[in-house]
Amino acid sequence: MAKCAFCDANFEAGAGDVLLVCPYCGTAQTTEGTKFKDHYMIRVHFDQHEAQTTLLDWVSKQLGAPEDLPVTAKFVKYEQIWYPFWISRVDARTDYHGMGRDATFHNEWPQRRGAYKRIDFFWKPEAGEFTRRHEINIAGVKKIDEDVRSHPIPTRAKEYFSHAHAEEFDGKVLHSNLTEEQARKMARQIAHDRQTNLVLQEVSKIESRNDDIDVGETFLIHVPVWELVYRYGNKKYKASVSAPTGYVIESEYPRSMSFRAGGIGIGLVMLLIGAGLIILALAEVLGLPFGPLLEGGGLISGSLMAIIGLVLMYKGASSKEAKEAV
Amino acid sequence: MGSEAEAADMFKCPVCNGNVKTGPDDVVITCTYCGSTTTDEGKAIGDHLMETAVDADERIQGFQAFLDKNKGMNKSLVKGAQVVENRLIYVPIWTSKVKADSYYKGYKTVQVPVQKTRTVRDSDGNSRTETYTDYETGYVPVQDELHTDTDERLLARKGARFYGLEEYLETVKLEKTVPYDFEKIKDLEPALLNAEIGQEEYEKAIHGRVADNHRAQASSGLTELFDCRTTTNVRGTTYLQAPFSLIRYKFEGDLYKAAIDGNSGKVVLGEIPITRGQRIMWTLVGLIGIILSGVGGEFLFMGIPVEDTMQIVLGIAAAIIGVIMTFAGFRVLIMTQRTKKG
Repeated sequence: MAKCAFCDANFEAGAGDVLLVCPYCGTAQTTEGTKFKDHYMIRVHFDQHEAQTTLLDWVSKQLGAPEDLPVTAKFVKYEQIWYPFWISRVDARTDYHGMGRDATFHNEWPQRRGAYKRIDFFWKPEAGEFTRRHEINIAGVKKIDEDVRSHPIPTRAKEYFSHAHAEEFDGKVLHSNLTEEQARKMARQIAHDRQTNLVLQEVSKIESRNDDIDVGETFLIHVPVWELVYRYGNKKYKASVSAPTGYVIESEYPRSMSFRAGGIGIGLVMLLIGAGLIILALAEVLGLPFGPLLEGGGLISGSLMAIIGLVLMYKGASSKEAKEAV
Repeated sequence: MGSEAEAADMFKCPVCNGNVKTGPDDVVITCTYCGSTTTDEGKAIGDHLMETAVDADERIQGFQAFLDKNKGMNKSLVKGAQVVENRLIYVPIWTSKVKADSYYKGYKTVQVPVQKTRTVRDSDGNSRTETYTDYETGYVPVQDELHTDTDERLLARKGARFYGLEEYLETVKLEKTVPYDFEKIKDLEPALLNAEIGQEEYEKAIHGRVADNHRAQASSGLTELFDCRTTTNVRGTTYLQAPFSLIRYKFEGDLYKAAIDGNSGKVVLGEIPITRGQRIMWTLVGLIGIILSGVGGEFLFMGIPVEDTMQIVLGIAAAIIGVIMTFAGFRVLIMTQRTKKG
């Protein structure tokens, strides 16, 4: 339990939550009760109904999805989760000294001018600098699906956070497990690592470096995602749909029985015919009592059929998640 | 909370004094009343251009032309496609000419043919020497230069990406722009996005991107790249607002999308459904491919002992064509949809 420092209401907060959003007055605050001002959101453009129909219409085109999916699927859970992200702008400048590889070439090949028989690598000192501005995006909660985490922040105008807007959709606004200080520290570390990668493209060994890393503007943004669960047949399927854009971040989906049976059945028949053709073609090599048949054609056609058969069987048997490419 | 938030969302236009609603991160702001464009500190940004846009009907026409071109044997595609979303949005874009010069050094390897001799023993037990060709590694030092002068464009929004963005940016051309004039587009009711990336930041970012491209190009033909120094010169940086539209459409109950250049109304990238009939047809192509490759293989096999060159060549050709047909055919069978450029 936590108590809002601004409206005195009591509200739920988990053990790891350090930046809290009061569900009554919407104020973002630290556990000590300091107000946090740079708190933004992206507005919802797809309500629950639109998100659900968009999901089903999109999922029904996936390979092997049953045709009656959009009419038969029943949503058993629909929750709008507001995920917190920390966005930092980091200006970094790295001056470095190090050793880079180079080589000398000896003993030219007479057959091919310009090519040498021997190469001797050596190290030579190199120095330089990289100045880059990094934009670093850190999820504020640890329990977050990788696909939701890496989904780009939608191309929609940011606005100051409004709790009333989240409430319209019964949205659940997650508290951040990271304080602004921790987020800034992580952003600094990530920027430092990116600079290191840049330097390592130029030199193989870094002998000395001087980093000037300035973590600038850092803000918290809440992004709404519809977390949906629907039932088709006896099974339940999970999906995440971006509430600002309607993109399907990821979705599990059913495959129809006829698709599975067709895939496995036809795949198996093709695999067997293919294997048979290969055996006939290699009869002599394998020491079988009957003569080799269709030695050239059987090998090629047989291998093709076996490969396609295996692919079809895999498609029939596997279950998959689908993601919409952005 | 609500009223406080709105107050902080306002920007006072330095030209007409109008109150403009802005996002918290906007650094280049276009006044929604007079159209003048300034930085968030009220400084002018020089030329502010835009591409004009076509209306929703013309975008639909361009979209239908795209479907018609890519319909294949699916004759009902244009009629059956039902557009469910077609909204115009003006996106902020920085563009400039970037001249880049790189000097790089590295090496690559080649195979050098070397004539060698060896001693062989024939069936009668006599030894004799014969020459043969072996290949040995040669190291080729490479020292070269890269010079480019390209048009570069960047979406001026932080961390933002949308469907068809790269293809869309390719179509943005300074020649197509006119001075920004809100009057010309306001009837289309576009959503206007302001820039979150300022000029200085853009120029830094574009330097980094061009330098990275050069490095990738330099290292592509090499075994190892020792050194690559790039200097860039960014000039003629211009801010412009360009129209884009994402069309979502339904076909036989399924949802597809296409990215539209709002200036020409043409599709830059879009998804095309594959019907059951098309899947069956392509599967047949695949099956014919299997038979053809088999016939080719048999032809080849019978041609080798009699050394009939014509037969061997025909056999190889048929086998290769058959294999390609097989994979192309069965690939369509298991694809979700096609993606086509406009």
